[in-house]
Amino acid sequence: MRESVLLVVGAVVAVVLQIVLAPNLVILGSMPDLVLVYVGIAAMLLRRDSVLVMAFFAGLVMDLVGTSTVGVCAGLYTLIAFLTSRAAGFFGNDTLGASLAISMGCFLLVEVLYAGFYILSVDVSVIEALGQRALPCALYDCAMALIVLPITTHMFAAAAPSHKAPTSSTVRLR
Amino acid sequence: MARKQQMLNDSSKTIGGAALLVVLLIVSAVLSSVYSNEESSGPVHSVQAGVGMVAAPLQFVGVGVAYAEDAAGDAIQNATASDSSYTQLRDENAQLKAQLAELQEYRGEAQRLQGLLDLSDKYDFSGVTGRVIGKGTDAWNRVVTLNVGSASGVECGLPVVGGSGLVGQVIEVSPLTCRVRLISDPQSGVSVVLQSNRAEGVVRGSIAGLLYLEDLDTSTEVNVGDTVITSGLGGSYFRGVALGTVVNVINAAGTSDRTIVVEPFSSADPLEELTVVLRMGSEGDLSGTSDASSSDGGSSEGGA
Repeated sequence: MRESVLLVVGAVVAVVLQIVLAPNLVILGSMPDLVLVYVGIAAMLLRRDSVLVMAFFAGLVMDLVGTSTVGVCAGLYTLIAFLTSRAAGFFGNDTLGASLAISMGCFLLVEVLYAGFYILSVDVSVIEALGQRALPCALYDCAMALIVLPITTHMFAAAAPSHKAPTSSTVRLR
Repeated sequence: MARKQQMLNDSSKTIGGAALLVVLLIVSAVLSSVYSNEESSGPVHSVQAGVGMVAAPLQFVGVGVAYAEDAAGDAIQNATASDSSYTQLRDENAQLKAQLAELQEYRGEAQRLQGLLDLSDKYDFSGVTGRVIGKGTDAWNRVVTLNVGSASGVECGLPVVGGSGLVGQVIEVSPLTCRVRLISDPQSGVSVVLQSNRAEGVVRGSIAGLLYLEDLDTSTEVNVGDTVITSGLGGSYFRGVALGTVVNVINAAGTSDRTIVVEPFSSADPLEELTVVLRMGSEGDLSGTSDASSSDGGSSEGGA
């Protein structure tokens, strides 16, 4: 229960930071997607169905706050929460490196999928969309993950004191 | 036995997660479909505009953060000055600093508003001026939020100008706010003419933020420095509003293809106050006798 509350609170904080802070963190046109970063990391750490629901609504809020097609971010975030959760279950060995590798792959997938959607709806070239937006944004997301990952790990670990020894459900920093 | 039970649990959890995923993806697809097929006054668009209005105060905080960043940059610059000169200047300027900053702010604002008024006189348009209270929340859309909305007469599709020229177009309106897609957005396209030879083309934005002049006849001569103004074709923008100048013409070797880069006049202005053009009186610079970038007002008559 406490984890679920924290999950929602974390999502709200991520959305607020995305609206307030992210527009001021633009580097060469690339902006981090803090909500995506949070969704990916939360899905990796918790691996629950509630993360899918949180991801969907977080994406929906970002769709509504922004100007892009409503439903795109909601669908992408939900998909990525599912994939990250499964990838963490299969490949995660609770190290920072593995967590970052999974996150990186998932962020890149989201940005590439969004670029694909963008290319279909706007007259831009694939190279322009991927090279000038998707890849730089995915890298930026990965950099943000280095900050968000320890905070989120600590947050969920603190919320679950009755859990068993942290052999598989927390990330060990090396 | 316990392991088998664990595997069963994991299997049922995966199936449950997959079912939930499918349901949520279907809901997302339905939302996207409804959004894409409805008009801008449709229910999903209306909800989006309403949420945008609710989020406007948060975006305004974000603009404040940007100002704070600038102030921090100034402070760092001051801190890196040599100690002796800094101490001397600090004593001298201590009393005047706050007042000066305030006056500079007022002066800057007055200049920007004067620029908008000059533009209004030049093109004889009536409009409503608003302050930029938010920027886009994703990297793919170049959009700003203004603190004027349908209560002030703003409607979707109206052009928006800054102190020096065209800035963008209103794409979403709520009672108190509106969103403006900048002309540098890849989804923007403005029908234009070259002021020097009346050749028609379309200026499109790009992901990198540059403006490209396209759909121009291959035989048309284009030179660096040519002024580009709106043609009014298509009805999206009023005719004769200054947009920018050609800054680069890159000819592809062996073909007639060329890439024409346009720098908007508005790039020199800070995006702080913008005017939504509600009605256009005359047709600006289409007479071709004035330089749209000149600050003397040029000829505001001419055209139809």
